Amino acid sequence: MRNFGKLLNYEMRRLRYVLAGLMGLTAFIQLGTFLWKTTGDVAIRQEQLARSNGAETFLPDMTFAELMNSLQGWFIPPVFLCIAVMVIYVFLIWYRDWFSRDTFIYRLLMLPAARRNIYLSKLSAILLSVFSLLAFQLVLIVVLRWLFHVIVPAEFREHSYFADALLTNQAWELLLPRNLWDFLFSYGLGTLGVIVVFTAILLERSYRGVGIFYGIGYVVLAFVALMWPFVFLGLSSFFYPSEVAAIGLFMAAVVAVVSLWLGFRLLHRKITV
Amino acid sequence: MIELIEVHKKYRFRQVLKGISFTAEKGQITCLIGENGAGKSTILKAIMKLTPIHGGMILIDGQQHTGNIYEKVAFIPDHLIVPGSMRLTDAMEFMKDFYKGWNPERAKELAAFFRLDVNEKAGNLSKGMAAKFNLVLGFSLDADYVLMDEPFSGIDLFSREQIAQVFTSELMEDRGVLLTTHEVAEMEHLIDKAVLMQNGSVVDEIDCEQLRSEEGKSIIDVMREVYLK
Repeated sequence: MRNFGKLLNYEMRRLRYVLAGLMGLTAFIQLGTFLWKTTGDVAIRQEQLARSNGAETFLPDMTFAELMNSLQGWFIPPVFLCIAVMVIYVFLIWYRDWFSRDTFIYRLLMLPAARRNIYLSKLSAILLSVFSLLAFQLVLIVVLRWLFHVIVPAEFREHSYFADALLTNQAWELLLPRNLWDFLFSYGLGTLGVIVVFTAILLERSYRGVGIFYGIGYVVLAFVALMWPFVFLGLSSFFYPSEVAAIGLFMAAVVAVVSLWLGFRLLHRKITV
Repeated sequence: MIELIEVHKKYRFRQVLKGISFTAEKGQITCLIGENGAGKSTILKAIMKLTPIHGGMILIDGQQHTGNIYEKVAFIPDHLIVPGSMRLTDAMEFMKDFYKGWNPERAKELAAFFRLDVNEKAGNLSKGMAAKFNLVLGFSLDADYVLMDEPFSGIDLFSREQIAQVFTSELMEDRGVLLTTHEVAEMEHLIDKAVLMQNGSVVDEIDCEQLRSEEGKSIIDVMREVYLK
């Protein structure tokens, strides 16, 4: 356990610049466009108010949720960039240890610790990074909301709920499900995807040339195993939807266990530098 | 003692190791000699379980591989295995974190002996400096055996002399060293035992002292007989 903690700490240290870069870019784009749009909208209202000698503005009051909706086009690209970088990093986290000038995988495999710690620390580093980015986005939304209250005078502002603001952005709606089960389903499936890809990478690293086909074959097999309850059983009227979902959940657990077992076994017995 | 018994290994359809058997004793320097592609580096990797074998057995002090072997056997490859972005001092800290047998005082002494700037990043080291730092990492472990893959490869004359000095120092006492090298002439006076390999097989095993005193031959003489016949 101590070795796992040390390795995870080390993986996170290696990731820190990537994470800081992604967070910085997201904050820069979201804060920048937010300030530009909010101050612009407030200025228009103030100008109208001045023209009407303080009587009224002809524009509706501003709500945080509405503002977030109108800024979607700017807010979504950095979110997708973060997702794309994390997807690439799922591969990079292994391959950089083999293909960089200094093959660090030698050192990792020669640590006096169970090799599954290498696998688990890399997996945990990916998950921790994803949740750090999510947490950062949530904090950023809170900061934006606070800024909204600071910048927009009370007479131009109308109350809106935080949850409504999350719903107005399609990317946030997808990444920050409000329902706990939806959240567990989405991120459980994502974690399973990472585990399957890790195992495919280790198949490739263990068997090299022909390993590419083993890896691709394994991903296809895992996908079929996950989908068949929904595609085949879901179409028949023999099972209730809840039963099909339970079978799907069971298959997901089987794929996770088999992938982890195979990944650990490859690292322990078959891996080659 | 490191003992290889009938070790076989193949890459796809090519047999790289064909029933390799030999021993490397504690307190001795054993040298694996052979042309490129003879399987020398593969043997070192197989001992460290960095590549699987397809037959035979590798025993360390009579036991098959367990997780603890990495405290007992240190491996110094022919290239640096520390991320380029890591400072040497951080790399030494990393070793201290994981290995019970890491000796920080010895690491400091060795780094000073090789005149390494420990605040330098590993990626900025020249090939010679990287080889020296590899030795620091390998010899600062209180391991019973040290495996070295081409310790002199691409290294200048003065650095070679420095590295050779380490071989004759007390650092080597009681340890078993198994190394591969093409620079046999420079190493000859240090080697206790030579294992000559050709095409994945052991073709001769020589007790160097006996060879010198009884037959008056050098390892290079035997190599000529084996490889040029």
